[in-house]
Amino acid sequence: MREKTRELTCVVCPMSCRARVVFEGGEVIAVKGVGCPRGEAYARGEVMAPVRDFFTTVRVRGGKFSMLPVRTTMPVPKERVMDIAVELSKITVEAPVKLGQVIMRDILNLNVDVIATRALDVV
Amino acid sequence: MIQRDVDVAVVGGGAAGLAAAIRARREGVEKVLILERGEELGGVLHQCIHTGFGLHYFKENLTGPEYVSRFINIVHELGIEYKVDTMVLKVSSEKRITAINSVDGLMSISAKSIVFAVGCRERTRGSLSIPGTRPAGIFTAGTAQRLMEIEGSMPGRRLMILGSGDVGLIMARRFVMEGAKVEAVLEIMPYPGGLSRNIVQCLDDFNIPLLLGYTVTLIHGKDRLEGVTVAKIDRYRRLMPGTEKFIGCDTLILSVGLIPENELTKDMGVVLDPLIGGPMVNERMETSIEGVFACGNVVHVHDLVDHVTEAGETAGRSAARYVLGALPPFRRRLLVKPGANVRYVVPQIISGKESVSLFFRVKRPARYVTVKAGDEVSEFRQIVRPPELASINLPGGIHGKDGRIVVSVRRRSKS
Ligand code: SF4
Repeated sequence: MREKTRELTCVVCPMSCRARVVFEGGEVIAVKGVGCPRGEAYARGEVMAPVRDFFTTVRVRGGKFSMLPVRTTMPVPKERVMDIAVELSKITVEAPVKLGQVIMRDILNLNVDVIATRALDVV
Repeated sequence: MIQRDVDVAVVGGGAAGLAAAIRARREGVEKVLILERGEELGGVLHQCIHTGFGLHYFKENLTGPEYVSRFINIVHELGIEYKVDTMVLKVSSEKRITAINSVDGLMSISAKSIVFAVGCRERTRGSLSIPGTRPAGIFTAGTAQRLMEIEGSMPGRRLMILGSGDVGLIMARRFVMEGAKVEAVLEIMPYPGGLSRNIVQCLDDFNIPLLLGYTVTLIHGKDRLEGVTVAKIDRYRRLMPGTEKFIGCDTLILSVGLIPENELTKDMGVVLDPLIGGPMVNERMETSIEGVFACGNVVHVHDLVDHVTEAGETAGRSAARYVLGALPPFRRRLLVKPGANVRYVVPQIISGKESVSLFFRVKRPARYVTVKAGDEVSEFRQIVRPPELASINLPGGIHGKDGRIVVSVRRRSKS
């Protein structure tokens, strides 16, 4: 099987090394160009199964402000970020809301909950 | 008019002010009062809904609202008094504050010590002087952020972003997540202004083009923005003829830098650093007026809120000690000066006695930081890059013959 290389920037520290991940048949066989082991781990993850922190705001009814900031309890697969955003654009939460309150459990069966990142009183 | 006496008055209830107030109270000062212009404590962090806050201070990855909620809760637990929706109009050099709100009316507050934690503001179209018409649809990144994340309205559907600072990059991602189209991010410099993490996760992830060495040269549209003309800029910031092109958009977001907000301090007679526009401070965060302290983005614009919190704690501790008569006079003064390839250094004055963290920004990437104090030269191996705030820990026991030390950076080691 043919070798493939993907270049990416390591974002773990300000050095911003250009990593070259060499893989063959879906397996990483080498990580070049990184300055340290943390960068190697990042580059592997980024190529095999990239994840992202997820956060957005959702509409609130009866709250002091119109929007409530929320996040997922764990990072989510990168390619599902837009799906989650669309799903959350459909809901409206009722005030008051507590900090850390679960807004949606196990969203899109991804095994993560969506929680409020602030408290929001009623008007 | 209401007359009040307080021990420590903190002007500004954002990250810096909250940390200062909490620290002052914990040092044993009874009467601490926070004056906040906004409708609630917490400042801009409530609209910074992304993660990345608290990695240093809490060793946790928090969103802005989560980070600041921790401090707001402590303010409540400690019963620290605060007034929101309150505008400070004037501060006299005798530490008398004139403030106003719709509940108390006009107030005159006499403080033994004052901490300025008023933050910074965004540069606007006016400060860039972009020619063209004056249609609706031009926002600073922070204003757009507030509209979206707190008030719940979209600034536009087809956007251009001028400036690749972190707020602009973060907003680019949010616009796309909310269903809008971001045509491009323009950066006048040949390198991006924001952290590489944000270039990757905000632009690359969403296929938003970043045009380096470009700027907006003309605004089009009568009532609403219809588009912008962009052009390439050369090394000497000259427009390159023939590179102009029109890009249609209904909204232009400006993410072109932040300026410390210093009307109050300037009026009061505090000495400002001409390189930054913020008050000159010593390692206790004390300004040129005794008992008056400053911390956070009013001193210089930080990259990380964690450092703002630390500066707030230093200012709060110093203010408390000043009030309690436990702050020994600042005797030896060494001026800290930016040298080769360094734009500015904070604090600008140190005693040299104790170890101190120096924060600085550089003009170009380098690997070595040199601190020169008379004949004493120390070298630190450290990677520093222009968009990022760098810091070194300078050990104590520095004398410096001519009363100054110079911080410079270089690519290669001197030794
Ligand atoms: S590879 Fe290591 S040194 Fe290079 S950017 Fe990543 S974390 Fe930093």
